[in-house]
Amino acid sequence: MRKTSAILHLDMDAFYASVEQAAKPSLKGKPVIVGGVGGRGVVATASYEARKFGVRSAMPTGEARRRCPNAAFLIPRFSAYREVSDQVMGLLSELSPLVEPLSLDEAFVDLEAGPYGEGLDTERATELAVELRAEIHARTGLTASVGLAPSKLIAKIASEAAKPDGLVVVPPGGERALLDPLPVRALWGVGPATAETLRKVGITTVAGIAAADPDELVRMFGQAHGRGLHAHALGLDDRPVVAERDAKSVSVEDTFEVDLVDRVRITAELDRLAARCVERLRGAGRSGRTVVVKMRRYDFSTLTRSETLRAPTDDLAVVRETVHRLVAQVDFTGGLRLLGVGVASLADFAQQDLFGTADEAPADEAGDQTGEAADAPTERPDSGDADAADPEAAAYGSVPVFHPGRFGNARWLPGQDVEHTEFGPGWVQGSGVGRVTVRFETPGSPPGRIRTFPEDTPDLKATPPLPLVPPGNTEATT
Amino acid sequence: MTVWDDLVGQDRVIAQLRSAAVGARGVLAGEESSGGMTHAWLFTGPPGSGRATAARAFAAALQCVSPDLSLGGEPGCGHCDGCHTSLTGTHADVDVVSTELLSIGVKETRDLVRRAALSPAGGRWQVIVLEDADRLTEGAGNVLLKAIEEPAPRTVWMLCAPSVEDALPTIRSRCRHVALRTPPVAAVADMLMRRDGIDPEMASYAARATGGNIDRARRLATDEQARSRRAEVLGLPLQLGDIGSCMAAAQRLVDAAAADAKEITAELDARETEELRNALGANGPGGRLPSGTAGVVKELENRQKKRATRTQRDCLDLALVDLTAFYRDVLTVQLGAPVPLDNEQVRPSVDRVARAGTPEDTLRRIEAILACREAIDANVAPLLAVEAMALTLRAG
Amino acid sequence: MKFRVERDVLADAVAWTARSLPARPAVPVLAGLLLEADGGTLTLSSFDYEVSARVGIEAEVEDEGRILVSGRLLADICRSLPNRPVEVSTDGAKVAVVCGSARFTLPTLPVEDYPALPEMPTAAGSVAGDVFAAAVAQVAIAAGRDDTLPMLTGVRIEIEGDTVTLAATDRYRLAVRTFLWKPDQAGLSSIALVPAKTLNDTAKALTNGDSIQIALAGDKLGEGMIGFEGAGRRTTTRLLEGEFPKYRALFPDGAASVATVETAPFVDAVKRVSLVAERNTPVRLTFSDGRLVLEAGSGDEAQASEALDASLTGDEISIAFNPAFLLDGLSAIDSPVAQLSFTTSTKPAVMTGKPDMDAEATDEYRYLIMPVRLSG
Repeated sequence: MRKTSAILHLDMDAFYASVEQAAKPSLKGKPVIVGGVGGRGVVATASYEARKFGVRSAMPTGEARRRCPNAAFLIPRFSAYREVSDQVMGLLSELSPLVEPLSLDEAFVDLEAGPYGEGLDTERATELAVELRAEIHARTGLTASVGLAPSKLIAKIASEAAKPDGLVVVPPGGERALLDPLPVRALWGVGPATAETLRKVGITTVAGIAAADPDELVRMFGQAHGRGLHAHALGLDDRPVVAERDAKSVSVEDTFEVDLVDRVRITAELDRLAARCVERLRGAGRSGRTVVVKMRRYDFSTLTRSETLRAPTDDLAVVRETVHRLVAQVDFTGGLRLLGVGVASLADFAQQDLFGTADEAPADEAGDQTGEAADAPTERPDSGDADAADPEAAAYGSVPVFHPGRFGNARWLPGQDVEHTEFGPGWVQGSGVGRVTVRFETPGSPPGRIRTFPEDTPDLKATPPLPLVPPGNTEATT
Repeated sequence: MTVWDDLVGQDRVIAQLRSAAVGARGVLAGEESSGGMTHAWLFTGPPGSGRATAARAFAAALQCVSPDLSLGGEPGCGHCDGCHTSLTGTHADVDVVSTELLSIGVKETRDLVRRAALSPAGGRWQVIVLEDADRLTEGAGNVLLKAIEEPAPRTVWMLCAPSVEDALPTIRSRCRHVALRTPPVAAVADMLMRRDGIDPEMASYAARATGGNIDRARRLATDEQARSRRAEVLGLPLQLGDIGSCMAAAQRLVDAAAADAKEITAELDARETEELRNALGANGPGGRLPSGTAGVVKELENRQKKRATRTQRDCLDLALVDLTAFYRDVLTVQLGAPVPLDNEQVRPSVDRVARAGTPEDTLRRIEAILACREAIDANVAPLLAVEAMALTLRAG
Repeated sequence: MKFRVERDVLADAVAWTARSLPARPAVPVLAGLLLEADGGTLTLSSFDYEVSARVGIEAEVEDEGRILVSGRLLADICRSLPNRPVEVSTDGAKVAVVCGSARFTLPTLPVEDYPALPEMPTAAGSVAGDVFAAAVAQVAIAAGRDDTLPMLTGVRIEIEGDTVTLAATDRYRLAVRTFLWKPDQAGLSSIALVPAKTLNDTAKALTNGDSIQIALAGDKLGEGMIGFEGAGRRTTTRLLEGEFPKYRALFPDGAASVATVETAPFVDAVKRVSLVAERNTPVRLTFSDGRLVLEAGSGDEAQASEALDASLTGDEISIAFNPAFLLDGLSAIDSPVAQLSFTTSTKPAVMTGKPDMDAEATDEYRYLIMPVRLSG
């Protein structure tokens, strides 16, 4: 265990929504919901203003609309998020070579391994954290919450506690104070199944786990899981921060409270896992050639299936296709309690795919599109087969995306960046009934006006996202 | 002559398929309604009832190009190019898939689905007959399901399985069911007389003794050795005097089945090998093969080996079925039921065994034979299983 | 059946037809060569259920007939015939081949079991054999090879009036070639997806004639097939089902940078640089005014690097590719000078050929190649 709170966990606040608010000045301070905008989409992130209405990640868009009808519903623009993420990760790498990204907006940093590591104490580490948050805000206009602690486990819990726009430092020895009152689910690796088993024996807080007899825990959960639980409850976590360069594979797993037997459900869960895995992969700036699926059956027997592709990829569609192929031949009778998707044989380069879907909303189901202009009350149900998960197609209107069996159509999607021959750059606020509404404003500009055009106007074309803060300008944007 | 001639006692099935074949012609001609034609079929029926035969006949009718058709004739003439090559399995658009292995896996199924996606070379239908569809693994079933749900416009799938339960539920719900029944003994006898020129007494005996299994009946009717081996099997119940005799009887049974199998496959193997060698250009029988072709012949030999193993198991199983028939006759006598025996010609033996035990004993013996068949199916060494059965038959 | 033919003509025809015999015949009869003697012609055919080959040669036919013999055996026999007229006759179930003083007998195979050969679709037009073969080779190189997406293993043939466009892709690169041909009817419009390997083999085998006819069905006859005929030799191939992706829109509108490099030194440099690095390591191309720098290796340290002359109009650009894809394209353009157009380093580049540095590039052949995205 470390003697200094040298492990830093960074978590950008409401990342996608915040990036959108920074890019679209008229949305500042307003409820913003980023995710699948169609009937079957889910929320990726909601801004804090929207969270006040009870909107949460993974909530179906339909429910989010009911709770917060006046929110701006936008499609995710991953290339924009990636650019900002790259900037933030760049700042982190100035603090230490040991930066372990978990996704586009989360990362661990081991300060002791960096230039400030010599003689680092908790006070100095705190200073660094404060400076970091300020620097991020100056460079990007966004806020980040930071947790500083002697271990990864505590650092992550601390950053959670610091939200929003905060910093929580847990000194060595202060772990128990932070952990004890938390519910058991706060610990890493405690899923619904474990939580239920603990509840049955009367343990509902982390303090309860810490106080329990370790042998008893081993009896209930097996050696690895039982011992790990106990150690974590005591705040003991020796896991090192693994730099992206050293990672051999990136994987994500889920355990299920009730064993899954239905193939359709299993496929849906695998799709979700694939999306999370690709997000982590991209966050680490890697790609991989081998896709691995892990399945643990009701009887604890574990199967893995893997396939090595022709070229390294970080494309969600490619990974998903491969996962589907791998599980097509597996027998699920009896049910599955755990599923995992991973990518190995990592490389620093990703062979691009002509039909790739580089930007896709995570955990989203392709649904119909319903453009909803904030001003226009009517909603036109769309029966086109354009894919909600094709923002790439929408953003780069001239590049269709190929799905076996489907063809992407260029459509105006809410949130999309565009440029008009007369009015300049802006973003699509909504479309429907043959018209598209564009708000003409850019990062740093004053809130702009909206104008409406026919949907097929030749004067409007899709463009790549603009940088949040123009290069050379490091003043904080208000 | 028509393509339906090889089917025995399946009038309803033939009517169903004929009507579908006519409807299929309509589809090709651009008519609106399909008249009973659909793209996925499931043929079921007991062993020897002619599932695969029915499927092939239907395939032939679909590919029939008889000049009579334009004069109002029905598809399935049996002698045009389309019919003939479909029945022999050489038609470019009729793919008959059968396997000697115990299961059909994902890889072969994917290959099959890919071939099914080609448009027919003859411009009519692309037919795939999957014999032994009950041997599809679950994964293979899923691959197939996709192809059956979204078929290419000219692709027709014909799956064969012993019963509907043997096909995956998701697949059977998407197929039109063609249910073959056990042909009545009289129909089988009739066919033996008509087509194979067997005399009525023999035909009748063979039909009854094999319980409506056409292939077996034909063999029994035409092959002296097959009959004598069968007689041996039926003599077994009286040879169970002591342990030693039981073991000897078991050995004889297994040997007889092996000899039977060998006879069947040897002939078939020799013919196939000769055909292939000729086609590849061997210089006369036993002559050298051109370079590079040895591999193809080796593949055939491997397939034949697997088939031989399968045939051995099948022959042993059939011998046990015959044995079961004997004990059923015993039960008939013990219960005094007024029905004719399957094995009238060994009546004296049946009577003796019937007198020496009770109906309960006989039922237990029938169970024992079934258990033996199941054990062999589960890969227990055949001799071991038969010995155990022999001992049980003795004890009662 | 009885006929007489010239030895060379027979041997040629048998050799050509025998190329389409399946090495692993699904049924024994497919290893057979079909001989049909009728009028003044002997027709030889072979079939493997997907590809069929037929050729007719002049013959003195005494008795008409139709027989099937082992293709392999017949081909072997023909090779060893002396240079005299050949007389072939059937005698029961055997076939006698007499040539000068040589005499051979072959067994016949059951001709009634031989499958009906596909109907040749109606001819649609013609084009020079060598033009066609070159065009196919340029495009087939980009076709996919694995079966997970079978429609990508084909070459798309699109006929629009007097223009034929071939396209193939494996998701990482796309090759498109257009050429003019002579359609039989004005206003003809047709599309076919042909397995790339088969198309390539067929095109190569038909270059002996001057022009070849391409036959595509528009109607019921020969639906699902494409036929080629050259110098009396006809081949049919079954088409692939499935929709080929809409590829035209993948070509970017306009370019931010256009670079021109002499092909030969470029190819050599790519080969040298990728030899040093691990297999499949991407090669990074950095274009600046007057120069192209190639580097292999995706880490911070380039494992190998070389510089070449190149002319550039537009923005400087640094972009990485799979070296094998690059080399395929450079050899396919078959020109002394290569022109590459770029938009950004993550968007596809387009390669075409030019006769010299100053010439205008034509759109006849375009090779679109997706880059590799390097991290960091």
